[in-house]
Amino acid sequence: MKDQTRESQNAALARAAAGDTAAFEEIVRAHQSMVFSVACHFLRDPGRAEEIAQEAFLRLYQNLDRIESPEHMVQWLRKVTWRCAIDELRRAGRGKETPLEDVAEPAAQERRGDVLLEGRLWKLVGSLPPRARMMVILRYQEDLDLAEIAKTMDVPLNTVKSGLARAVGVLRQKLNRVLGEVKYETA
Amino acid sequence: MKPLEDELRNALKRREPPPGFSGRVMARVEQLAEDRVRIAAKPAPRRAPWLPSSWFGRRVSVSFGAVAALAAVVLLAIGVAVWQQHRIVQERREGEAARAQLIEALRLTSSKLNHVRTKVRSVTDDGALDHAPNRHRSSSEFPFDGPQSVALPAA
Repeated sequence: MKDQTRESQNAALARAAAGDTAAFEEIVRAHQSMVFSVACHFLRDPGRAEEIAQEAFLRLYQNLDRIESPEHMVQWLRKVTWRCAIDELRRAGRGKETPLEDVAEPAAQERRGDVLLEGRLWKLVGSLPPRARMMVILRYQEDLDLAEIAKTMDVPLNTVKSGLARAVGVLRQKLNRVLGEVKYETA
Repeated sequence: MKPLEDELRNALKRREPPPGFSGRVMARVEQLAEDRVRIAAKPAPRRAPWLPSSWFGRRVSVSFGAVAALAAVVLLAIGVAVWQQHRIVQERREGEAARAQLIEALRLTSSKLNHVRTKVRSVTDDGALDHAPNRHRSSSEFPFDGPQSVALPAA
């Protein structure tokens, strides 16, 4: 089944590279949620995230001849999305790195349902410094291992290791403080 | 109680883009493809045939437009230089003419002064100047005696 999917992706890629726009649309549909989600979690603005996602797919269309395989395409899309998103953040003047400890905490509320917790976590992740934020997104949205994150973001592996550990530590600390109890123990 | 990592996975799960996303992407892709076709169909600028096609082993492509623009710039620069040179020469000529006029005027003045001096000397030698009537000032010519007559305002 997996082989079949890979075969069909390969075929779509080959047809798209040959100029078949229907095949390219197939590719867009297959990867749109990944690209849009990375941009949306990073920018926390669905409108701007859509623009970034469109831009990423346009760049893919322009570089189809350089894509070697479906796996390469997915990695390429993540990398381009990251670059477009960080550029967008810099353009908007909000890309200034702030220390992890200075991350704002969402206001504590009475309800502690899962949805609310997710919302709080999402806000906390969104207020991390850009690089740490993208590491967390790639790790927990895309389930990438550290080496893949390093490759996608063009940073050394050790930077990812330390950056991610620190970001998760800060998130745990902040979330515990917001919830008013030690809910999440250090792993 | 779920571990934080699981909560993060929940909070960061994939989201679907707004409806019609792929259609909007494809519209932009088609626009891009049309632009590419238009650019490809546009004739390449004609090369100036008298120019070499390579320069120290490097391939060069220079269009008529570029050559014409360069020629226009060079012609303009030459024109400005010639005009400035012409202006300098003209100013020098005008200066020389003015100098000659001034010398002529000085020469004439000098001769006149010599003439007058000769006359004065001859008259003085004859003693005629001693009988020349003295001209006295009338009070009507100078209504004020001097600055002391002006009344200053009291301090």
